Amino acid sequence: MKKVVLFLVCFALSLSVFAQPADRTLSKIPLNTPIMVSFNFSHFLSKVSTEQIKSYEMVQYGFSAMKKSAGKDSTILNKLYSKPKAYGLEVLPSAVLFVSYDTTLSTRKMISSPLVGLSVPLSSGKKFEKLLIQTMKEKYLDFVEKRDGYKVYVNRDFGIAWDKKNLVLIGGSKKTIDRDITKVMTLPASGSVLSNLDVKKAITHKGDICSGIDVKPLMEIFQKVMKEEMGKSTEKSSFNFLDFYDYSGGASFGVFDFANGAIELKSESVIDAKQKEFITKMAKETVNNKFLNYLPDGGVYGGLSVASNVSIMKEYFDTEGKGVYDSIMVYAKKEGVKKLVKKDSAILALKEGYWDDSTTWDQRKAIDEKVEKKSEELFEENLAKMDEKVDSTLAEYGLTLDNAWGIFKGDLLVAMTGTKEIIDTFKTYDYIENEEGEYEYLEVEKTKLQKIPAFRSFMTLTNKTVFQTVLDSLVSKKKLVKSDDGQYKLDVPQLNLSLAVKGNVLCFSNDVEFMENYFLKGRKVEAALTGEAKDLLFNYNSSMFIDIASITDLLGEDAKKGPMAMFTEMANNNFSKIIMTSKVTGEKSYGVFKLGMKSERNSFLQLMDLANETFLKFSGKRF
Amino acid sequence: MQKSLILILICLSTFFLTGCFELLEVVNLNETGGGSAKIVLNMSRSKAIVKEYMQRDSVQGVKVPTPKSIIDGLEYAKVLLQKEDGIHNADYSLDLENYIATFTADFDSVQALNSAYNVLLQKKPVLKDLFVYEFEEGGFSRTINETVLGKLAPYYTMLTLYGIQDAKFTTIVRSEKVVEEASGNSRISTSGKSLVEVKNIKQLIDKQSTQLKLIFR
Repeated sequence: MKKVVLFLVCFALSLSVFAQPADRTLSKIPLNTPIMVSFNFSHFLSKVSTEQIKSYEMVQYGFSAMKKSAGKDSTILNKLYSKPKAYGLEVLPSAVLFVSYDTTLSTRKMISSPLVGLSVPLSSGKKFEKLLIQTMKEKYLDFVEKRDGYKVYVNRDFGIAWDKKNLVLIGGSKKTIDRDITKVMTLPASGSVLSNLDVKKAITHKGDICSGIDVKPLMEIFQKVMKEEMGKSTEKSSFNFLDFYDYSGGASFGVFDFANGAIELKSESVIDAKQKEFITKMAKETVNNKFLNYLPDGGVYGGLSVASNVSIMKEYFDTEGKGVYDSIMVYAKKEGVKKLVKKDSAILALKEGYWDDSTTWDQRKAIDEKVEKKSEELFEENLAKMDEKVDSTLAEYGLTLDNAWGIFKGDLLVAMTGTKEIIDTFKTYDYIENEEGEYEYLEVEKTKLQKIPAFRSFMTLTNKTVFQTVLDSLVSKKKLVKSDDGQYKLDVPQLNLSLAVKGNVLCFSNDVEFMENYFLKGRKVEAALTGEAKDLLFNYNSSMFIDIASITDLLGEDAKKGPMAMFTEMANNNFSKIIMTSKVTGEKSYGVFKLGMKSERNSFLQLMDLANETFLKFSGKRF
Repeated sequence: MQKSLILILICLSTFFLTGCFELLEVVNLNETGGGSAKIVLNMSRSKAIVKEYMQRDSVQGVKVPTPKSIIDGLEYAKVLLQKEDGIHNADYSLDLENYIATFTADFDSVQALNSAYNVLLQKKPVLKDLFVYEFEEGGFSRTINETVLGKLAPYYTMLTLYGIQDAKFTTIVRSEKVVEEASGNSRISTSGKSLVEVKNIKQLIDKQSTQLKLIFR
């Protein structure tokens, strides 16, 4: 009995160890690998069985197609399909895909030759070798090399290496593949990600797919690439990315799960030490609670909220973040000027006759050179004048770069609160036979009703005076029309877009009834928003949700029309809602993405149902 | 002046960007193969969007023509056609409330009609012979050139985002001769002297029923 109990305990322990990547799998991943993704088969298979997956016609068809192309090797494929363990492949635990870069190389070489590997545990290296011999036959002896403690097979820019317990597949440059394989197979424990507990913890989170990011090496790579991308602007601002960030510890991760009733993605990111103060201050912000006065309970079908604070942002950009701000501004100016110059260059090319059919290839080449030279001159000219241009554009609206920062607090809430009908009158033709029995056309007027979403959006104003100046400028430029009740309307027929200010709340909406009877009168809705929708919109740093089922109900027949009808129908039949949130708590930032499914059945199976149905519809394949 | 012609084409392409429109072609044929032709471009279904676009300088990089420039372009087209042999009484009308443009002309022969069309589009050789009319004792045909359609194919995918495939193209042909037979899904009237064919632009994009052919009794 003691032995039976001991065996059961060991067996249970072995299962839990193998639910996430085992140490031996991680032992083949070099330290400072920035990106890793683990595929946790046992976690997935605890919810979905292989028999369920194999029952789908498209899976059977796919395997059948593979068998046909495998020819003589199809028996091996059959066995692999039904009993992978027979060939030593330990599918139940996790396999880890990783991408590593050699930062000692130049940027171009670094980016063009990453080390991409897949580390897979083996239940038996011998069994795996047997599979290889059966597949490669006489080529096995020619191409497989025995090294100290492991064997290797390299085919130009792809290689596999294995020992008793591990298999690693490596892709990369043919110049470095051999070196990379040697590196990975002879890693000491101190040279692998096992020695970084934060990274190990990140990649071994429970979930179907887990991605772990070692942030510091990733930032080093990013720094190198950014320096080259931003070119001169980086030099001018003396901007050093690593001076700006401090990811001395910690790893971020994301966990993807095919849960029952939903597909979920959760992430946890490390906040770097240097930005912590700024991020912590911003994290305390929420959207203005006054917005709740205008959101009816049970009447919000989708929403988006962002809670930030512009003054905190400005304070940051004036101090620790000055380097980043300057670099961004220089980069943005350059991109803006490039676009202007591109437009002018296109016009110049047109004037020179580049696009005329009679222009020869040599003439086009000459025009290209002329335009390029002129573009360079235009670029320098416009860049020098860019600051002046920005200032004068802002001045047209009564703004300066300084006071523009102070108009809004930085929060935003957009809510879809129903639908409204647009009546569209248009002229068309009826084709009738006249008295002589001949066809003629009659111009007739017809109407069509169309439902569009009704929305209300809100922001908090911190400087009403400056904002009023902007509104007055827009009115004088005829971009807005001011009405007697205090609304400012956009002249877009039928859409009824307008904005208004009440207290320090700015509202922009297409719901005329709401604007005139509630917002402008300072009247609150009868019952304010509660429940999940309120929690999502008011308790996160940023969030978005869409109640797919309710929206398609609201839109009714209109949802089934037009070019998007197919997608709307698919969405309505399969998905119930989408939720995205982000929140900073303590030293970490948490993100959630959730795609709710219509039924509580496992979401992977529901997606497979959909894909299989589509496959059967379009192929008619049955066997 | 030629710039105005380009402006008409830009105007048309801007209209295409709005997606839902109707194109009506009316051909009246006499016994000798001459007659009159009318083209109507009706943007009324999209007038809200067109009105919005007309208030801007450009849309998606394409300069939006002003009403004056559209009228200038139409005037220029009228002048061009009136100089063409075999073309008479070229005229146009423009409804800027509903965004409907109509162009009419009389022609002595279908060859004159073909030639007039190509003259209007001489700055855009890719569109040469897009519409080709033929007439003989026993029949009449209007062919939309599939090779030219093929050259325009790259634009269609983009334009389907704007619903161009729902736009309608209708042809009415009236003839002094009785029509015995007509191709495709055209309907012959009770008198036998006219027919109407309605199709949507998607059918043309898919190169379906690009030829309308009539056989006279």
